Amino acid sequence: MVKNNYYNLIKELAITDFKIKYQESILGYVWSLVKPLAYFGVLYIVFTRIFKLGNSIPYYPIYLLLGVILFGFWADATQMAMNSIVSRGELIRKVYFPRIVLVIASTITSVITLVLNLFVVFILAIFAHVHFTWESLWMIILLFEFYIFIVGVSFYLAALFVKFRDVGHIWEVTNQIFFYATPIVYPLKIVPDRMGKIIMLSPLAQIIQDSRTVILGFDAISTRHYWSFYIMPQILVAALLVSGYFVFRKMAVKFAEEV
Amino acid sequence: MERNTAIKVENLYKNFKIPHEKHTSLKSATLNLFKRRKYSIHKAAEDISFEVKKGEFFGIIGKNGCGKSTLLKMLAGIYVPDKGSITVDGRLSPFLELGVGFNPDLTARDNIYLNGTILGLTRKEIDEKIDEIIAFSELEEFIDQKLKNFSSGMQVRLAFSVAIQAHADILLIDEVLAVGDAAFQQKCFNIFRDLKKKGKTIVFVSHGMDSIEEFCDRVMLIDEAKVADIGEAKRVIYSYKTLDLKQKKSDKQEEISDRRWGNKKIEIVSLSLQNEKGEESKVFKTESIIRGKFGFRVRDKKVADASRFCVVDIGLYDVRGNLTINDQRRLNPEDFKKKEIEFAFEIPDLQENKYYFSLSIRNAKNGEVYDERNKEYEIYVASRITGLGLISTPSFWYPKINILGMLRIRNEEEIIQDTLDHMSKFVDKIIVFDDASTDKTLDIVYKHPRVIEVIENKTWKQNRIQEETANRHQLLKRAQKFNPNWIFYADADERFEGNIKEFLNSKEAENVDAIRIRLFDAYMTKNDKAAYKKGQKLLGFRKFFGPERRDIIMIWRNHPDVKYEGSDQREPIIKGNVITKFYCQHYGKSLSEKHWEETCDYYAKYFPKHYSEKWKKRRGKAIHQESDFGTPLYTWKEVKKNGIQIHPELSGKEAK
Repeated sequence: MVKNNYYNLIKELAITDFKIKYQESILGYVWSLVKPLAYFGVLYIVFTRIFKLGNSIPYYPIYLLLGVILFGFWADATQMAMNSIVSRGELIRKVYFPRIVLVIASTITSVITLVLNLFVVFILAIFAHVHFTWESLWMIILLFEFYIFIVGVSFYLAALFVKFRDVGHIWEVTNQIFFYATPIVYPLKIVPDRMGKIIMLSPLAQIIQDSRTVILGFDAISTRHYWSFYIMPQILVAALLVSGYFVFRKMAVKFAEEV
Repeated sequence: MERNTAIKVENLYKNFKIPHEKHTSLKSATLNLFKRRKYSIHKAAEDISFEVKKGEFFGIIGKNGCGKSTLLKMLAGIYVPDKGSITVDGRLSPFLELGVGFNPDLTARDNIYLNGTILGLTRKEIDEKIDEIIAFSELEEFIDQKLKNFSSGMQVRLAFSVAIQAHADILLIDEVLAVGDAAFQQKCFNIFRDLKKKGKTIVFVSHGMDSIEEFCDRVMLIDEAKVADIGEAKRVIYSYKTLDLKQKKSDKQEEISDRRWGNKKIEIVSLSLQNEKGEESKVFKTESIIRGKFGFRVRDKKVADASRFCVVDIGLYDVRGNLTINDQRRLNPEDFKKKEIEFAFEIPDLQENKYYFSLSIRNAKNGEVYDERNKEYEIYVASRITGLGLISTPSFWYPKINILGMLRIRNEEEIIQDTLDHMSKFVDKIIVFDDASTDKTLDIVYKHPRVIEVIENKTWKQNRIQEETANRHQLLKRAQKFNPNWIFYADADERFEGNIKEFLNSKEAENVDAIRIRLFDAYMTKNDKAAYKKGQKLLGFRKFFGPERRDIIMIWRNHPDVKYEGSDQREPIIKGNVITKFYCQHYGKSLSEKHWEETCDYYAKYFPKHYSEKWKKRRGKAIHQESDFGTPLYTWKEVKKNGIQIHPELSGKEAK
């Protein structure tokens, strides 16, 4: 296969995944929006009416929705990427191409969903009178960082999942923990300062908090408050990507035999 | 690596470890972390080396699980070898099976895009080719339906249509022709021929020996992860078939005692079977001669006294244990001296299968069996009969044919209609040997009412000088099955003059065994050079002929002894009364200027030196003032009087 054609293959596989995902349902893509929205609705009621946590935060609905959608992207993308090699076992046993193509293609599918979802958030934000500034453009860089992070983690997950199927269950549990260990429903300021510092080491927390800062324009607690840690999450992201790539490449040699 | 090598494989090894318990969960992996994992090693490749040349059609055969698919996967880069190297020069098509990546939930159209991309095409390229792909698959009406509604045959059609669009120099193909209906398979075969013509390198794995033999230049046989044989297709296929026999035999070693009995008063001590070339063999073609030899030992002297009752039996049993052919003869005193008996028998037109050769020595008077080696020797009969029925007998499909015409043709689209019509004046029925025509010749042949049989040779082989004689012999064998009174063999570019039919029916012909017909070459001249066009009568088409006359046996009385032998034989071997009569115009040199050049190229390319040199010099000289032998040309009327006989007496010395 010609090298520059791997780009075509990624595109074709991603489009296929996207079509398959939504084609049998009447509402199609809408479901990928309805799901996080419904979840958001539940969380919103619970945290504003019962726990009254969100009342102190301006734009709380958008604040919460942004967090839910970004985390949804993370959970969805890593889950799909983990399955990407195993679910295409047939293909792997019969055709040679760099296996990385499959991981990338599966994450692209999630990116398509994310972009559509963010567009809806954008519309809602306008209705909620959020003022966008030039600073909001930082969002693009944050999303790029987020994507790199996901790819790095996906390399490990996809490769390990070929050998050990328990990785699937482990990851599910891990993500449940991540959901509450990341300031999604609660504001970071309610946790003790030291805990907050630790939480903010996580790229996941860093990206979500920073996104809120640049979009909502108010000072949500973000990396700025922990400037000494400023580059720690990014270093982690870069390290995961590089090491993940090499681990994946090493293990990929045997995929066709093991999958 | 040499420049004309496409794939070079050197000392390739691959083992698969098969764990007795696979740890697909962390728990078992952790629990067994310090235990040594038990696994057995399956050898998939052991010291495999071979080369595939550019433009070669290379077949890989072997039994299931012999490692041929693993090898192909290593060539494709899907598996990584443990040791050894693979060097590939050229773009490799990555598909091993058809329809890789097909998704049942997508429409056929979407799947074309998906599958096409996997095969390395860009979206733009697919856009350009999609109509062609759909048309080839013949699935126009269903193209926007989901693939899951397709039958497996339809899926294969779609897949093949996409696959042939992949641009690669080297194609790896695994068992693609196993499915699909006959008509579509034929289409695939045509594509293969095209690919072959385009000079693509193809590595082809298949169990279909017919397609392997038809397409592959060379074949490699893999047995138990090693290269067991490599070389010319026919030979390797034979060794594949015998391989099977060897293994079967060793499986059944113990049973052999049951198959041998007798009181051993006379004991058979040795046996060997040879094919017509005198090689020891276990594979024989139908209608070929098996020659054999066996030695025996007399253990009881009294038996020798009763020798006049001793008989030896030979026979062939089929796999179900039916005695198929059988013969016997008495042992004479001479045999008892030599203690060795030679024999030979012809295998009838049997169905392709295994057969058991059996041999026994017994007493015909009292029924005592001295030694019987029954079904102990397995042989394989290779045959064109693969249908039902054990033996193909001459069946009288047509009422008694008086004169049967035989034609050997290749790409004669222009003249064949006229040839068949012309022959019909002299013969009752015609059988045709088509040597892998690639044009519409066969369409015309099959439509002609006199043609009763067509032998289609699917591959055209380069060794012309032997091949043509062998093809004539094959044609003759088939002709003899129709049991005609006379056989009339002609080439497509020959036209005859004379009341041949009447003569053969007359009293005069009663003691004639064969007729030589006087043949003259027609030439194109300056004022007579218009090209022959379809529909014109070829008899008398040219004005001038060379005086060189060849008297060739073209008509003979049907007799089983008549045969073509050796190479470069236009005539069959005939004993009896041969007369010379009638005339023939030969248009091999004068159909058109274009045809002349093609003929020059053809002889220059495929024939031995003394032919090719001669024909090379003739290029560009289609228009003649004198014959190719430097003699003046004559009109048809004159040439019959002024003919100089150059054949058979001067055969081979004709070149100037």
